Amino acid sequence: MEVDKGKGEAEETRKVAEADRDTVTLKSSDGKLFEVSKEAAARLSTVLAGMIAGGSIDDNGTDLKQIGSEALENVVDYCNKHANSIPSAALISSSISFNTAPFKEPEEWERKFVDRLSHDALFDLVEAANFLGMERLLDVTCHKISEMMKGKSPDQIREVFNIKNDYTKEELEEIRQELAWAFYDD
Amino acid sequence: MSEAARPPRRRPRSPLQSVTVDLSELRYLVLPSAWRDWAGLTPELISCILHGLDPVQIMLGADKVCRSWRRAVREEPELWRRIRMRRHKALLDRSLVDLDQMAIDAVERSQGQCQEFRGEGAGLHDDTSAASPTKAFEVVAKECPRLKHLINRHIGSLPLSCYGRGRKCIADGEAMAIAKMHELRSLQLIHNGLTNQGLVAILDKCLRLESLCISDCCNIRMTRKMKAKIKTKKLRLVDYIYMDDEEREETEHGSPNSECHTCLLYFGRDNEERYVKRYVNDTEAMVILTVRELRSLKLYRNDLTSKGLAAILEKCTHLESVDVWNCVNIVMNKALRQAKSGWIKAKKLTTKLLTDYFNDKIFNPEGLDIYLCRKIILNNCRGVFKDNAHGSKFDQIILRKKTRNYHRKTNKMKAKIERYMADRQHVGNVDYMEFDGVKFDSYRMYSPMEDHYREFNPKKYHHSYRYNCWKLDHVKFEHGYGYNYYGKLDEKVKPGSPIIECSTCLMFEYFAERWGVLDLDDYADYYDPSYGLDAHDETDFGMHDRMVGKRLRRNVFVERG
Repeated sequence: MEVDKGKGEAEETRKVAEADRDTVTLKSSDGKLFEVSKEAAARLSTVLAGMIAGGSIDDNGTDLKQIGSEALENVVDYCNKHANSIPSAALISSSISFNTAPFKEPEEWERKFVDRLSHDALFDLVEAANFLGMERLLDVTCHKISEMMKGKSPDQIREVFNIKNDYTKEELEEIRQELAWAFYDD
Repeated sequence: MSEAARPPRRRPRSPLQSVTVDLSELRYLVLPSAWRDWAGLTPELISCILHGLDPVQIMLGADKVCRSWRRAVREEPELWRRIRMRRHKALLDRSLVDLDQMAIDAVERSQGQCQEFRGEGAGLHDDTSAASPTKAFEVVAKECPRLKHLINRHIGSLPLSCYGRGRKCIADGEAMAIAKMHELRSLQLIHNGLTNQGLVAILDKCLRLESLCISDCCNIRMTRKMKAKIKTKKLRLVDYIYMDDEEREETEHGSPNSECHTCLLYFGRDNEERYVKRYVNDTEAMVILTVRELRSLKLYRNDLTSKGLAAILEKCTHLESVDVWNCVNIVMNKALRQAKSGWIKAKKLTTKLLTDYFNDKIFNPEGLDIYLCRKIILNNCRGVFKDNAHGSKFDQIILRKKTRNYHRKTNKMKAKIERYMADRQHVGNVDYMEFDGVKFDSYRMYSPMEDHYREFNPKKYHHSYRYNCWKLDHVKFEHGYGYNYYGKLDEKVKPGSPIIECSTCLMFEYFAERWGVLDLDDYADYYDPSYGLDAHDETDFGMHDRMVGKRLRRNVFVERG
């Protein structure tokens, strides 16, 4: 599956696509066009599936105003990878028993897929996945983010994600008293 | 990387521009977001992210980050659906948190949604913890009406009534609390002090119970009545099997395979850090004798002697199989063989003495030229054998003599070395390093403890170790204490003790060498000693020692020699 960033190339492929009607064209907030297989899109994203079924797919590019081009490129990459792989239904379903994790561990390529992303791209991808209702992608990206938080103190998490500490001193003291199980050194 | 190796979907660039950096190598770099508002994520997304963390990690980290995250944590009882206090023992060991109280807190936050509770020592650790064990269980019972799976594993020592002076068991209070959880589907109580009375209460009250695991519950007697009761309940009895620290479940229909299941595991299992009988000496062998119903016995690497073994074989008439592996003091002499030949023929005695395992790690004191080494530590040096003792080259009697004398020999050697050390005044300059029995030189030492440290195998780094590059300033230790391998205070290291006693310092030295090549600040955000080790890090000792090194750097003054 070919993904083209350039507009001119995208138009060429769209002509081919229109012939067999096998793909959908997605348009990012800054106007870039992306092609993705209709079957994969419908299977992976509940929102896109609804749009395809409801006929609200625009051949000139379905507008996804909430998603920037970089994030959409990642989404499309992901769809394309999954288009060639076995259906992920088995991956999503998880039964609660003793030894199953809350969700299945990411596969190797999924891990690599999210590993190469920067924090910002990850953030965008999470929002995009959430917006498009892509459950599996959301799981994978969230897993990656939660891994970044593992073993870190609140201060370090704030630093990594550039979050401001919006607690007042009194609130912090309150939290500290509430969490009586933690023995502080000082 | 060449242009051809790139994925085809990338737009071709001119070769000059193409610089390939594998970003995954930089994944621990802190790249602060310029404008992304992580705090402003919708609560659904935050909780989705936090689903990847377990409750303990949430409580330690994410919960305190900022208001919106805290709110998301509070408003999402789903996050607390599966509370697992396991794998956080390190926190407790370092006295950072009170796991019991934490478990109670977690359970309260679940707002009744908790369906699975896995405790390891949670709520039951020892007397020093603030919450009483029964209380923790009562809270669990009260707050989690929908609890379906309960796994609890004692890590503390238990009042084992099956040997020694049986103390009155206190764990039935827990059982009564468990009996209030009517929705319970599966229950695992491992290494618990549960008695028959408590078990009956649980079986009577928890009508939906489907599977039950009570291995290591030493106070349960599998009487006929109890067996029948379990049978009528159509319970699946699950046997817990430990495999390299990963537990597996194996279903077995029927009862635990012996009358006193616990004793076997209690004496046999060796992969726990503490509380496990690693060295059974003859006194304890006499204790084993009192367990008349023993069916099978496994003893690995302990101090049992032939005499003790003979006594066990004689007294425990029910014994069907005995495994004694790597018990260096047991010498399978002819006397033992002949006296017990009838028994051994009829039943099963497995001995693996001086196996390949031993052959691999043999310490040869006769060949040790101490004048070549400037420092030798003989901690835990229990097996001293001639290098080629394995196999048929020596007969059993010579071997027995050797084993009999090994303590004397090592002590002699130690004294000799110490004298030598005092003469040469080489204290502080390490030429030779030995870490708890793991050698750093051409001399082979064996230690029963070594397997315990198998993740930490300095042999790997042997080639890169320079012995005399570093000097440690002993005085700069805080209060003269050191940290041992587990990051705990090593109380043996008293101020002013000569360095020869301080294997910890040697470890420091080892780290000191590593610090020279590694900037630990690279990992600073990955590990925080005040938090403790993540389960994943612990498997990666390379990471661990760097981090311990980082921690140590605050306490030790290091300078290049």
